[in-house]
Amino acid sequence: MSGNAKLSVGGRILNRVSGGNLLLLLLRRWDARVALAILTLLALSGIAPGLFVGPLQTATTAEAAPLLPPSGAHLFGTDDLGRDLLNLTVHGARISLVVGALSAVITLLLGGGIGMIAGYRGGRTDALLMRIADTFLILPTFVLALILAPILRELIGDQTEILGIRTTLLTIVAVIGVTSWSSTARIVRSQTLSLRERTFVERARLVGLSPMRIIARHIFPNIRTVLVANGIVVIAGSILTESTLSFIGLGDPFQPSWGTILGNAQSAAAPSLGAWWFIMAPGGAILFTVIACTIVGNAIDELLDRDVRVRR
Amino acid sequence: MSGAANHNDARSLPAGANAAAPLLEIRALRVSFSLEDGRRLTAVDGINLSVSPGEAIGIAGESGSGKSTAASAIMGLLPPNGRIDSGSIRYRGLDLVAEGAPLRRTRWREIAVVFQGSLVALNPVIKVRDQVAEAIELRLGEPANAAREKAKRLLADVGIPDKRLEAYPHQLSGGQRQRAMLAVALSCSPAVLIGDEPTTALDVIVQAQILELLDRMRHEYGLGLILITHDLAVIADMCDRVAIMYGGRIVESGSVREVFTNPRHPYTQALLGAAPDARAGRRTIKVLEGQPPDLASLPPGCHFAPRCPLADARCTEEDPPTVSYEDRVTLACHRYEPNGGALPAPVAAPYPVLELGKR
Repeated sequence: MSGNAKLSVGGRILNRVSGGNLLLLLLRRWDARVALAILTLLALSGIAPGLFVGPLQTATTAEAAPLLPPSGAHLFGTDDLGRDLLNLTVHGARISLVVGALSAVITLLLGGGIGMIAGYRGGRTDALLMRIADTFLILPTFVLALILAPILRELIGDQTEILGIRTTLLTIVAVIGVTSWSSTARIVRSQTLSLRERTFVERARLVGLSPMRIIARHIFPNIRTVLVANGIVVIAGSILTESTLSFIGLGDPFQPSWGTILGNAQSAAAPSLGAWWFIMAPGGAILFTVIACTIVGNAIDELLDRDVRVRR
Repeated sequence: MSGAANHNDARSLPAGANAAAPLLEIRALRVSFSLEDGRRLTAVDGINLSVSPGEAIGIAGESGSGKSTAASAIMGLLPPNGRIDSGSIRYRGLDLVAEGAPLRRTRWREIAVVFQGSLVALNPVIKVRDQVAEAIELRLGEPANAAREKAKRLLADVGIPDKRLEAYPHQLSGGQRQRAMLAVALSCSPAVLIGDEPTTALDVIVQAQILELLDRMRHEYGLGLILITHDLAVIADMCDRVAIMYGGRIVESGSVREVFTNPRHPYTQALLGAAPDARAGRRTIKVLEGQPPDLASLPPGCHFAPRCPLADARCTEEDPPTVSYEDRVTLACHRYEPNGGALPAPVAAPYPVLELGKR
């Protein structure tokens, strides 16, 4: 295919890696294929858990004996209340998906926007925005999340819904977004710095485009793929943070999440009871999802690498 | 082709401009940059230049002679540490340097640039056709569809086949990209076109094609063309007049024929003598020793004096005045007396000569 031939030209991949083209290039790598398969499975579980198991009620109502090891009837075994772990894990995917996607959107909007403005404007704007980014960069995400989550929950209350998403979930998303935009902003800024020196930006200024239109029309399309790569890594981080918050009981109490199941396993003393499956199901889900995200992120990064780092 | 007719019909001068005034006139332009250590670097040191419709002017000189800075100043593209200290740039009498200058209205609409290096001058992720249409939409205020239609005609005009219209820059060859750049520059039917090393990175065949195209466009559109290059052959081929720059000043200017056949300024002689000439069978080149001047600490007097074999005490003390001879040649050199404006005979500067091809 022509896409591959162009790869060998070197140096300018970024320009032609976009949209469907990127997906095709990814599918050429076996590691990315496996990772994308895992992510597709996750997405399906999150969007339509009915494909694999029954509705949410069947997951939360106990029907079997507690702590059954994996068997034909319960592939992943049952928890201490006799609930089917496969069912819970599949339903837990939705939270991970929503949190991952929303956090990535917030992170990319904040980080991408601030990074492009800082990089394009330069000077004082740049210095100010980047010092703010540095401040957020040195804040430990998890500790901040730990403090912010209960505060935000207290402020908004955990029963209200916004657009069908419970606010508890949104607080987690907000916390992750606020703490992770700064590294995105730095990456985007450095890209923008090199782009704005290119002649086509100069030409765009001559032609009379406003700074905002230059950013939207000439800068943004050039860093789109960098944002995609970064976004996927952000998704992985967000899923981890959400799991950890849920594990220690700061998650959404009304919907099963992988972190919550792990938390349950811990309080039911699953490890000492020898109920390894109780930990395996949610733990494995988290592990594979995060690894898959990282692989895809790295693969995109590698596809762009030569171009991104050694730009003229 | 219908290009020329459309071009002139479409042209309406910006407010404040006078159709009778010279197309583009630069007077005593000085441009300087502030350096990080606080010094100021004078890149362009009082140059005069004028361009008429349909006329091509070449600006030649070494790297750092100020030729590209002059072009940036005309376009209002100086970097933040650069500024125009004095002088004027007038487009049809409209001062582009003065406070609150209507630069925004003349840029691209009246004066456009073909940049060097089409790979960086075109946005890699936007189709070439849309990049041509961009300026038409924005500057001429035409609706998107009409702009795209016009872009299509322009691209056809510069020799990009229809089937490449939807191509991205990387899908075009180097020559096609440079053609596309030309279409972008011509998109708003400018009256002045500045070519900043427009053929530098191209191989000779493509270079010849682009130059031919540029020449055709100049005649068809009646463009005033300013060609900035260090390639003297390009200027000899393309231009009516030439200005030789050294250390931010124009040391010699005049008709290409006069300057190239009878170079008078010692620097012009060195520049022309440094190019081996295959056709003339000349196998020697003149050797110009030393380095181009450090613009941040220019010597007093003639900037070329430290490297000039003819320099004497006066050259290192007094700036040589620019004298115009018979309206054909201007010279800034103490070796030539004004003698009432009659064109003086060239004084050959004794440069060391290097013989080529000797083993």
